[in-house]
Amino acid sequence: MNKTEKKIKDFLISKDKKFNSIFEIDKLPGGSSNETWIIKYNNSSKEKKIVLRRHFQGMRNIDNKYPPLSLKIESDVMMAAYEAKVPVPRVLYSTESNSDLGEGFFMEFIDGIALGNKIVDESFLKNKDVNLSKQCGLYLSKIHSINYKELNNIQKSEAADELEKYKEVYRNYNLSIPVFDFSIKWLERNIPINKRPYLLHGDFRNGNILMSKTSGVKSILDWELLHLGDPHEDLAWICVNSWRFGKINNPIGGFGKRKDFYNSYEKNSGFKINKKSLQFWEVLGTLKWGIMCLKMYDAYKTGYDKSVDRAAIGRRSSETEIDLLRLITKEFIDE
Amino acid sequence: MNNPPSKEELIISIINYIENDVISELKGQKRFHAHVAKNSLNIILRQLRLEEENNSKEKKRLKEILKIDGDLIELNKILCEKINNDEININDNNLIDHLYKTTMEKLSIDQPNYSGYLAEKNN
Repeated sequence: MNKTEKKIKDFLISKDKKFNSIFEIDKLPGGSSNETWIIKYNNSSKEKKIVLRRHFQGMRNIDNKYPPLSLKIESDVMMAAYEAKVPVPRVLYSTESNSDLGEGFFMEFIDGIALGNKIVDESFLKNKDVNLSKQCGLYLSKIHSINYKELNNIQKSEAADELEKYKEVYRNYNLSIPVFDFSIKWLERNIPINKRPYLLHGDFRNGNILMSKTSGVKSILDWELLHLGDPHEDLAWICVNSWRFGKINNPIGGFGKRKDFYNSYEKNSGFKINKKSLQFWEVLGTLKWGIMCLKMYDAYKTGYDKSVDRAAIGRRSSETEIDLLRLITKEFIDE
Repeated sequence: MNNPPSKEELIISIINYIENDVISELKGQKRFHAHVAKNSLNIILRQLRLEEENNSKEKKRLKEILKIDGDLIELNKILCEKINNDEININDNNLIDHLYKTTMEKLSIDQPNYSGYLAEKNN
C-alpha cells in the first residue's frame, strides 16, 4: 500500500470501523485535473466499493486559465441533485483542502454501463417498457429545477460567454479551418436570448449517463462542467452527432428520438423549448467538440501526452465540419 | 527510385500485422492504442492516394472565390479572414458549395465511415 492509499484507508477508518476490511485501492487511468479512486472492502461478508474523487494530487490547479471546478462545489451540487431526486451517487464524506487527502469527496459506487457504443446497440435494453429519452428528459428537468441560490460560487456562462471561450481556444492555435470561422460567424449572428439562468449539468450526454439493461438510467455522472446558463445548452449537447456513436437517426445520444426527450422535459418542467435556441446550441456543441479534438491533439504536439490516440484525435475535428455545415445550411429537422 | 515494395505496400503490411498479430495479444488501453495505430495508418494510406487530387480541386475553387493565387495554407488563411471581416457573406452559395466539397474531401481521407459523411454522401 503506497502513501496515498494509506491516507485513504486511514481517513475512511476514522469515519467508520467497517473500512478496516479494505483490501484493494485502485486509481482509475486518465483524468488530468481530477483523480478517481475505487476502494474495495468487505461488509457482512459481501464485497463493497466506494469511490473517491479528489483534485490531482489533492490540489486544485488554479494557474490554468480555466481551472477545474472546485470539488467542494461539485459535491454540493451533487448533494442538491440527490435531494431533488436526480439519480446521482450519494456523497458520503468530504475532505477539505487542508486535509491529508486534499480537496475531494467520497461517494457511493453505482453499478451500470456508461459506454456510449454499447448503449446505442439495439439489443442493449432488455425491458421494452423503458424509454431512455423520456427518462433523460425527466431527470434533466429535475437538474434544471434545482434552486442554486442556496449554493455558493457557481459560475454563470451564457451563450456569448461559451462562444467566446471556445473561439479564443481556436484562435490561439492559429489554424485556418474555414468551416470553423463560418460557424463562428453564424453563431455570433444567432445568439439566443435566455430569460433567466438555470443550473446546468454542462456535460449531459451519452457516455456520462450510467445505464442498466433492465431499468435504464441509473446515475448521472461527470458534473465537473456544471454552471449556470441556458437550459437549451444541456438539451442540445446530448444530440451532437459525435455523441450518437454512429446512430445518426437516433438524435438523442444515438438511442432515442427528439420528441420523447423534449416532450418529457417540457411536461415535467413547464418550460417551453425554443427550436432556434436548440439549433444554436447544437451548432455550438458541435463546434466545441471539434475544438476539443484540436485541444487534445495539442497535448500531443506540446509533448504533454505522447500517446498514439492524442495524435490521431486531431483528425476527428473534421467530422464536426460536416455536422456544422448540415446543421447550419439545411433545415433543422427534428426526428 | 527505390526498389519495391511501394510506400503503400509497406503500410498495408504493417496494418495487416497489427490487425492479425498484435491486437489479439493485447488488452485494455494497449489494445485500444493498437486499434488507433491501425486507423492512423489507414488515414495515411488514403491520404497517399487522394491528397494530391483533393488539394488541387480545393486550390482551384479557392482561387475562383478569392480571385488571387497562392499556396493552400495562404489561401485558406485569406478565406478565414474574409469570412471574419464580412468580406465574404456566409450565405454565399459559392462559399457554402466550396465548404461542403472541401469537407467531404477531407473526410474521404480522415473518416470515410463517419455517419455524417455517409448521410451527406447518400443525400
